[in-house]
Amino acid sequence: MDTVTLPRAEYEALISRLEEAEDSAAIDRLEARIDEEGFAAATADYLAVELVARLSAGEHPIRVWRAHRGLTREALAAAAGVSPSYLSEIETRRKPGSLDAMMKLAAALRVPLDDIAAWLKAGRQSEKNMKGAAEGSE
Amino acid sequence: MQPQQMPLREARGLLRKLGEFAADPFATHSVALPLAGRPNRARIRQADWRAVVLIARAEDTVAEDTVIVERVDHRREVYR
Repeated sequence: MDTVTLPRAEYEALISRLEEAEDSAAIDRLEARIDEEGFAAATADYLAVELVARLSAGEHPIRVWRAHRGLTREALAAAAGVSPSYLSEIETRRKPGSLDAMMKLAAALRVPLDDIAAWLKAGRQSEKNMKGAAEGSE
Repeated sequence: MQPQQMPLREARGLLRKLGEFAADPFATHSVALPLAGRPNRARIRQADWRAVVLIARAEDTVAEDTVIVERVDHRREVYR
């Protein structure tokens, strides 16, 4: 196996150029989508900054995406085939929600379940961190 | 790394910088780096993270620019 050794500064310069190329390509693809589908359709799955702030504040991702899609709790519950009271318990974290219910809710919201799961995990960690910080300050 | 893995403190810092940038996207911002020499593209850094943005205009609005964050990524790491 060939091994290449190079100075860190050169390695970092290569990484920077690679990142810039990837970033440019990502923006090229976005611009092409906007041209093709129109602004509204191309950005329909992008959250407004207020909603991202709600996610990073630990609000339940189902509730945030429901707000983005402009659905009432009853409308989402009906579309997903879960009861409104169960949806309410999920959104307020009184119940974690069965995998089946979460799959149906994610599909009705047109959001990948992975994305919902990642935010739920992030929310739990930030809760734990805040708890840790509060305990640490005592 | 995914944006969901971003530490809370840095997520808040990046959101604040994005807010400042979006308030006047074509002004010169100390937090923004140009991208490919295009005036409607930029990268906004927060520690080892960066947001890659496009400034775009919806066809149905008269003068409102929208800053679209296309990706948030962490710098590649290597073992030292």
